[in-house]
Amino acid sequence: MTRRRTHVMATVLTIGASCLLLALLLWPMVALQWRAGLTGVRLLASDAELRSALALTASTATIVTLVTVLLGTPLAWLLARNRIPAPALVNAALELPLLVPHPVVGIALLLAFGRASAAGQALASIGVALTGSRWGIAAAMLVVSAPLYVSAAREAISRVDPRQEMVARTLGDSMSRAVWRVTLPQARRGLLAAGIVMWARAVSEFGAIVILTYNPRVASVLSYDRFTTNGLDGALPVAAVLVLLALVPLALLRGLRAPSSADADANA
Amino acid sequence: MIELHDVVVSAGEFRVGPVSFTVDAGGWTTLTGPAGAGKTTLLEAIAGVRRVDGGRLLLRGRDLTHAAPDERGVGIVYQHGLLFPHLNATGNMTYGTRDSASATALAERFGAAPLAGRSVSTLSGGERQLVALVRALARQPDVLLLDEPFGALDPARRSATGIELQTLQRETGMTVLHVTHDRAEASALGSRHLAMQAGVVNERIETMRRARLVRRAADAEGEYLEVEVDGGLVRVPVQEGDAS
Amino acid sequence: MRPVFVTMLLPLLIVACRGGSSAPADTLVVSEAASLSTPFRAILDTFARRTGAVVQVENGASLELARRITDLHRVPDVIALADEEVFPERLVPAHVRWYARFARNRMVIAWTDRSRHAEDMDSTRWREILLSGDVIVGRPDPRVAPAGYRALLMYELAEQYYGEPELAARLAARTPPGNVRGSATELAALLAAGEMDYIVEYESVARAQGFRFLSLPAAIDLGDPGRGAEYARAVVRVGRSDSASGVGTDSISERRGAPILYGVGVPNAARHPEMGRRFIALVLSEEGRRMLRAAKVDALAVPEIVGDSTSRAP
Repeated sequence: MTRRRTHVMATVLTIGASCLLLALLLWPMVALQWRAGLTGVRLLASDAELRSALALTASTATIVTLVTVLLGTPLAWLLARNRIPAPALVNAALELPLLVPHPVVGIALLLAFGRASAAGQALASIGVALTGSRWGIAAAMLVVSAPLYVSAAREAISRVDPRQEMVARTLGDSMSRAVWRVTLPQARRGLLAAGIVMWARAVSEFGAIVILTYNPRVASVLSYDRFTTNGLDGALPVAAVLVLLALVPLALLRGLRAPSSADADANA
Repeated sequence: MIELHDVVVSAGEFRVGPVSFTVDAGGWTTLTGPAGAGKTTLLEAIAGVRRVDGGRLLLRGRDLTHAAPDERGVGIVYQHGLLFPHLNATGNMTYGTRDSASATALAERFGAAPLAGRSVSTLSGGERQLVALVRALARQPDVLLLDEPFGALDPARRSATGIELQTLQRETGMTVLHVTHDRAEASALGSRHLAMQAGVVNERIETMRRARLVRRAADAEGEYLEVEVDGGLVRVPVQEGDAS
Repeated sequence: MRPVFVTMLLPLLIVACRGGSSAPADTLVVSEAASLSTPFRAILDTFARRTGAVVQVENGASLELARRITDLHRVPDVIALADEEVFPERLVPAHVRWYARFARNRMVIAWTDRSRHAEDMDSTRWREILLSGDVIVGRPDPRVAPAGYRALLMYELAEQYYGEPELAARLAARTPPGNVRGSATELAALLAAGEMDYIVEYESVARAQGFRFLSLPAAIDLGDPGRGAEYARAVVRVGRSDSASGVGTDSISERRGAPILYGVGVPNAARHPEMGRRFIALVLSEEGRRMLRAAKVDALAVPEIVGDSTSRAP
C-alpha cells in the first residue's frame, strides 16, 4: 500500500470511529431532551417533590465531595509521593468499590454499619442511623465516588515536581506548609476537576443508595419511582432534568480548561 | 561547621560515599570534580533534601544526619534554580522570609530587581539563577550551598555576581560550600578547595589563599582572570584543567 | 499496515457472522414476580424438558414488570404475578386480554431469629410487639407496590377484627417514611441484614426468602377468596401524602380490600403466544398444582380465568 493511501485510510477510520462513538454517547441524551426536556424544566416550577429530590441529591453530593476533598487529598499526596507502605493494597482498596455492582456496595455498607453491626450500634448510640436517612445516602455516594477523587487527585499531585517541596523546606517550611504553599496551588486545577468528576458520579448513583435509603428520595430513586407509578411519561422528565443538572458540573469543567495561563498568580 | 563522617547517600541506583570531609565556619569552600561524581547529591544530603543512608552529618557541631530540611538553617541554590512556577519572581524571592524589604534589597544588590513581578516562565536561565540565589539568601542562612549557581550567567554578570556574593559572605560570616567544575572560578572565589573523584573527596593544595577575584576578561591572548593577591593585582590565564 | 488492518477487521467479522436473532425459534420468555422464582422453577424445568423450548426468565417487582410491557414494549410470552391486582389496573385489556387466577396469597408478618422480641412473637402478641417502641417495622410503599396498600388494608381489617380503636393508624405510624420501601426485595434484604425487625409482606415473599412468619386470622389477611365482601369493608386512601405535588396521574385514590390471588397471563403482543398458552396450561393442570403445592404455594383447586380468552388450555 502506498503511503498516501495508508494515510487516507487511517484518517477515514479515525473519523469514522470517532463519529460512531460520539453518536452512541450523544444520541440518547438528545433523544431524552427532545422527548422530555421541556416538560422536565416546567415541572421544576410545579413539582415540589422533584425540587426537593434534586436539592437533596445536590446538597448531599456536595457535602460528600467536600468531606472527601478534606480527607482524600492528604491520602492522594501520600500515594503520589510513594509514602504509603503497601501501595498495591491501598490502591486495591480504592478501586474495589468501583468494580463491585452498586447494590452490593449498599449491602456491604449495611453489613459493616447497619443496625446489626458493632459499628452500627455505636452509631445508633449517637443517634446516627444508616438506613432511611441522609447518612445512608451520603455513605453510598461516598463509597462509589471517593475513589474517583483520590485517583485523580493523586495524578494531579504527582505532576508537581516533588523537589519543589524539598526546596520549600530548605526555605523554612514544614512538610505540610510546603505542600500547602507549593504543591497544592499547582495541582489546583487537577484537584478541582477531580472534585467535579466525583460530584457528578455521586449525583448519578442509584443502586447503592436505594438499598440504604428509599425515603427521603434522591433524584435517581424518584425517577425510578415515577417510572413504576407513572410510566415513561412520569420518569422521563425527571431524567431529563437530571441530565440538565449534570450539565452544570460539565460547564464548570470547561471553564477550568479555558485558557487561564499556566503561570503565576501573584500570590506568595 | 559542616562535618561529614563516612556519609553514604543513594540517588536511585547511584551511590555516593562513604565520604568524609569538613568545612570550616565562615569560609568559602569550593568542591570540584567531574560530572556525575555525586557533588549535587552530597549538597542535597547536607541540606536535608536527600536522605543519608550511612554515616553521620554534623552541622554546627550537632548531629543533624536525619534532621528535617527546615530544621537545618541551610540554604541551597540549584544549578537550574528550581523556582516555583506558580509564583512570580518576587513571590519566589520573598518566599522564605517575612521581611520583604530585605529581600528587595538583596535583589537590588544582585541585579535581580528588574525581574520583580516577572513570571517564571519568561525568565532566561541566568535570570532564574539570580532569582534562586536571592531566594536562598533572603533567609540569611549561615550555611549556603551553591550548585553551579552561575553557569547560565554571561561572563560579565558571572564575575560581578561572584564578587558581590563574596563580599556578602565576608560581611555576614556565612559558610559557603560551592560546587563547580570551573576550576578557575573556584580558585578565584574560594579560600579552601576540595576535589571529588570517584566518590572520594580530597583536599586540594591550597593556593591563592587570600586571592580575590576582581574580574574575568579576555584579550588577544585569551581569557584571563584579574585577581588581587596580597594587595597586588595579578593576571591569571584561564586554561583547561587549570589547577594553580 | 495490511496485517494490522486484517487483525482489526477479523473480530468484527466473526461477531457479525455469529450474530442473528437473540432467541432461537422455540423460546419461552417469562416475566415473573421475584417471589415466584422458586415455585415456578420446577414447572419451568418440566416444560422445557417436554417441549424442548429454551426458557428465559425475568424477575422484578410487579409494577415494574407491568411497565416493561406498557412503556418499554418489552413483551414476554408469560407474565406471572403474586398479586393479580396489577392485571386489571395496568394491563387489561390493552396489553393482556385474559389471565388466570391460580393460587392464593396472603399478608403475613415476617421476621428472623435476630429480630427483637422474636421469641415472644405469636398470634396474640403481634400487635403489641409491632406497636412497641423498640422494634423497626417495614412495609412496602403503597404508592408503588400493591403489597403496600394490602398491608394497610390488613391493618384496617385488624382494627375491625380485634375491636381496637385506632389500631390501623397506630400500626401504620410505626413505619416512618424511612422504613417504607419500594420493593419486596429491598425489604427482604433489610430484614435479612438485621436492619429491620418485622416486615409486612406477602406470604410468598416470606417463604421465598426463608423467613419465619406469622399467619394472621383469615378474616384479616386477605387470603380467603370466599371472604371478598368482608374484605371490601376496609378502605385506604393512597396518594402523594408526603408532598404537595400536582403531577399527573397518581392523585389520591381509594383502595378497597379484596382477596389476594396469584395471576398469570399471556400478553397480547407476545412473540410466542402458543408457547405461553401451553405453559399456563401446565401451571393450571393437576400436575402443575401439585408442583406448586410442593413449593408451598396454595394453588386453587379450580383456577379462574378472567377476561376474554378465545382459546383455553389445549
